[in-house]
Amino acid sequence: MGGYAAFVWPSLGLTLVVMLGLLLSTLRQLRARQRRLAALEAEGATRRPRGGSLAAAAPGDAPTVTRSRENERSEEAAS
Amino acid sequence: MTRKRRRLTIVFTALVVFGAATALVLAALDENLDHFRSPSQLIAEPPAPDRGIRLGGLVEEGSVERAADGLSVTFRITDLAESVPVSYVGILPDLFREGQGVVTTGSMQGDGTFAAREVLAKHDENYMPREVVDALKASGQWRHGEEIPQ
Amino acid sequence: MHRFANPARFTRIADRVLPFVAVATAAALGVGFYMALFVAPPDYQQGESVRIMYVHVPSAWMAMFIYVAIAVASAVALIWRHPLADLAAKASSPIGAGFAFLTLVTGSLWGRPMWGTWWEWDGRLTSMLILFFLYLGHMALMHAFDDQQRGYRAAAILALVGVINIPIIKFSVDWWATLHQPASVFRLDGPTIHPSMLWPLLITAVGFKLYYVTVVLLRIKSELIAARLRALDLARLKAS
Repeated sequence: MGGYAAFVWPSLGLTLVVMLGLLLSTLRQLRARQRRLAALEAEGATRRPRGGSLAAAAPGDAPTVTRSRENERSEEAAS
Repeated sequence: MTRKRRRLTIVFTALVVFGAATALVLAALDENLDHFRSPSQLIAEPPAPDRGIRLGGLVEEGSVERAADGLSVTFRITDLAESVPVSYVGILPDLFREGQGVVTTGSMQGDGTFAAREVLAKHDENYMPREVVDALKASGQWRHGEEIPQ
Repeated sequence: MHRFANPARFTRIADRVLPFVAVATAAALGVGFYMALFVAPPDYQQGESVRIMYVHVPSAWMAMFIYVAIAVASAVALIWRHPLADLAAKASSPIGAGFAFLTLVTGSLWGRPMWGTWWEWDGRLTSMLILFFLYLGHMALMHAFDDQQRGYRAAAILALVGVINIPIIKFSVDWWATLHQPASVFRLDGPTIHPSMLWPLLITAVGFKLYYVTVVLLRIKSELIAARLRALDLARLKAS
């Protein structure tokens, strides 16, 4: 590396470490959440049919409900 | 820690971070490289001896002399109108060469030389393999070094 | 865009797209890094140290691109209350912070041998450091409030205010006599970088962009599941 090995390799290495690290932590978190959701669904905690919007599972969650209503409106507008 | 306190801590941290960011901007505006002087300015208004200043310009062609110890070097910085002799002890940046733009920090000595504590070399926006440069030079199309940095 | 508002639909589309994007990311990054390290020629002035440029420059582009993406998502979230916009902003900022960090560190590793300094308070370097702090602030604000919506709103406002920093970064090298060199690729009179170096740079840059698409889709998916989990927890709490 023409005398620059001590600068070039750490640059490349750190880039790989950061990019891979972020990807792996993202995947780990996603898997953990998927597992928890699957466990809750197996328990029957989701009383409503799947595939609905967020609000379907959260009757009491005020902000989500408002938002989902807007979704419906905009979806109607789009169709 | 209660949630309220945690929230306060985080908001406080955010404020400190932005305070720091603002301070950095001000520091940058105050101390940025705009503040270097050219050889002409230096000769027109000589600064007080031993006062720390920045001197910037091109390394004059054919002026670089390295001492036998390999660390001491003298050269002249020019803006193509005036030039100032500079002495420096230390490792020069790898982009340092004759014709290159440099910014030095140091002070004027009694004998009219500029004693540099730090030498920074500027890089330009050109990226090229050596063979291409050689080919350009051979065909007389090479214009590098004609530009005078502001 | 509102067609993607439905989380189930978003997840469906993301799942369909993800395999292709992931493979393309791996291919572009593999080719790009290989060319950067082994194919691209050494520079006539910088020698082999020019290879740092192939990760430094795409990182810097991505750090700025992702910030603009967050600002756009924040505007969409504030104005149209689009439910996915907040999550897209939330999912993006850690990736942007990572790239801003990489820009600063790889730039420093190049500056030490070439300029003769690890760091200089010049306009380009300082504004990039501020971008990194903006990302950290954005991430902190997202989690700063018990009421999630308030956190999202505060972070969105920060993102919109901070977007002023992006043109400052871009034009800092023209406005001030910075140590940092002017633009080589995006300039009116065409790139000042030889094609044998431009191609590896562009391929790596495409790889970085695809990487962002891959990771941000995964993260939005993950955030949607998290929102559902929170809603379920709340429902269970009410029921008991």
